[in-house]
Amino acid sequence: MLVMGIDTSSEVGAVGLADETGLLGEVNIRLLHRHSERLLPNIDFLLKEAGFSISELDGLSVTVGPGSFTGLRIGLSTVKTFVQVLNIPVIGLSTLDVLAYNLSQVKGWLVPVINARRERVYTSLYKGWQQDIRGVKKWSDQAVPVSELLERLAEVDRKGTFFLVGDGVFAYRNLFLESDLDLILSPAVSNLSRGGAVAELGRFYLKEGVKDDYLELLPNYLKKPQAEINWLRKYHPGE
Amino acid sequence: MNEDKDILILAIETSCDETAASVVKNGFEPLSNIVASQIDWHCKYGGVVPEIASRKHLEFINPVIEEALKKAGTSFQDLDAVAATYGPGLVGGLLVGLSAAKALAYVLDKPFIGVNHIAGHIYANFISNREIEPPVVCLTISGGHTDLLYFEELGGYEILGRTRDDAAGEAFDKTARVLGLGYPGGPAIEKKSKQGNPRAIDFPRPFINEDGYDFSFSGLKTAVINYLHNKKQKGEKVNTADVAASFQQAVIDILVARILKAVADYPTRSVILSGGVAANKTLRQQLAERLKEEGLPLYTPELSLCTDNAAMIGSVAYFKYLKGDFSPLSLNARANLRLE
Ligand SMILES: [Zn+2]
Repeated sequence: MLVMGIDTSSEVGAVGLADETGLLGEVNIRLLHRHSERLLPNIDFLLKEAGFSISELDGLSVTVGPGSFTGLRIGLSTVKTFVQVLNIPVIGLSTLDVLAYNLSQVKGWLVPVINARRERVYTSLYKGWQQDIRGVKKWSDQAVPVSELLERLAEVDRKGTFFLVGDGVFAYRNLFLESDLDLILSPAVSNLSRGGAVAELGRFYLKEGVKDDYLELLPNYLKKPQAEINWLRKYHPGE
Repeated sequence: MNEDKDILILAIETSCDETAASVVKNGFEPLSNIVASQIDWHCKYGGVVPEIASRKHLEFINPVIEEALKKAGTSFQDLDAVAATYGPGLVGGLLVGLSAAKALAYVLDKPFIGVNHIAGHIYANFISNREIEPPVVCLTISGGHTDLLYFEELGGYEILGRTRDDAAGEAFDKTARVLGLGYPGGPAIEKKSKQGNPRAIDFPRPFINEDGYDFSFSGLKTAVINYLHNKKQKGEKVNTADVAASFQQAVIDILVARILKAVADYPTRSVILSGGVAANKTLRQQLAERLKEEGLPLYTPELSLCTDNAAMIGSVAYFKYLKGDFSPLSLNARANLRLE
């Protein structure tokens, strides 16, 4: 089963290709939000170098967030349209699940942190690593201030070891270093979004028969549009 | 290549608040023209909310493509090329349609053609009116642009003038908002104007006597705001219908004067009025009357092709297809793309 994985939820444009022999290749480049210019050329490059054409894919996996709204829509619009033509199974993966997946074979608490700006992170919590990363997930994906995350981790396990991964590690390094919790901060290579992880994890689930309806595959924004929030505040205060 | 083969282009348009797809045969014959309007989601905010528009485009894009093919009785494999608007417009929305179109072209191994939305509005006329004869003076006006063009031949054009500030449609939207007439502003003002006197208030007609063919509307909008402000300070009642009618008349006078100057300066056989604001019946009527005196026919696209649609994008794409003018899959969306 040949599966391509795509992630455009951050500054990294990531494409990976995996089959039963393992990971065939991946392209991960920090594009500084030029996904629209680079996504298809990168897909084409990877397929050609690996000796395949897109019609040979047996499945697709794509991150659905949390992350950059525009980036997510570029990836999803591309993948959904591929599926519409190729009629192959597709799965939408949480960006946080994919980051946690980067820390394979780590015991302890896994805490992916994606920079959501203004000292906030998109985060979740996992107890140890297993290939079915959803099976060890303890929190639903959420956006929280870094300070609140640290308080909640202390409540979960004051003496435990937490492995942090994601671009939030870099963005809020000092806040994490000041904490008296036992936090292990991942190096840059693990913090980068990886197309290989998206492809491999997607392939794992698709093989198990876990898949999504492509029409219903939409970003997990975790936030209403600002105009809607303002409108609700004005016309339905207290709701 | 078979010379007689029909050219089928699937075109996608997502530059504002309608998600649209169309299969166009040989440039002028839309086999389907599907438009999913989002107006219900934007009305309560008094204008298009870009983030909401982008979200809706992603929900609608694939079903709209599906419907366009189904209605045209076409399969993906029958297509000769895939086209999409890449600007001007709201970047978030443009990127959804552009990504889908590029993905389609790639997976089908067909040429991809990026199209300028404004050119689309112009070519909408050639779909509606096959008898248009060059040379043509064309005014294209919408919420995003105001351009006056000259076509010596139908294949290409030169730009005579454009707005220096607000687009005509933008002026309608902003004025409708200050008058509390709702959104979209063009139809709201036209409706209200029917009960008002267009000569009640003498709003300015900026640029009307200046050289060249450029437009300016921001001063007019400011004049309306100042008028309302003055009335309020004096505690006087405002006749909204009179304000709407007088504003609309000022815009029409500006537009008509520029067109008349162009047809006087350049040899012309036809005049085209296009873009969202071309749906304004009062403007159409007054312009047609003035051109009749000059012995010139006025062409406007059918109302269904005046608003944003994908058939017009497919029409532009057809001419590019014939020239082999394809776009790379690295083409990005451009919010401020202008006619070039
Ligand atoms: Zn338009």
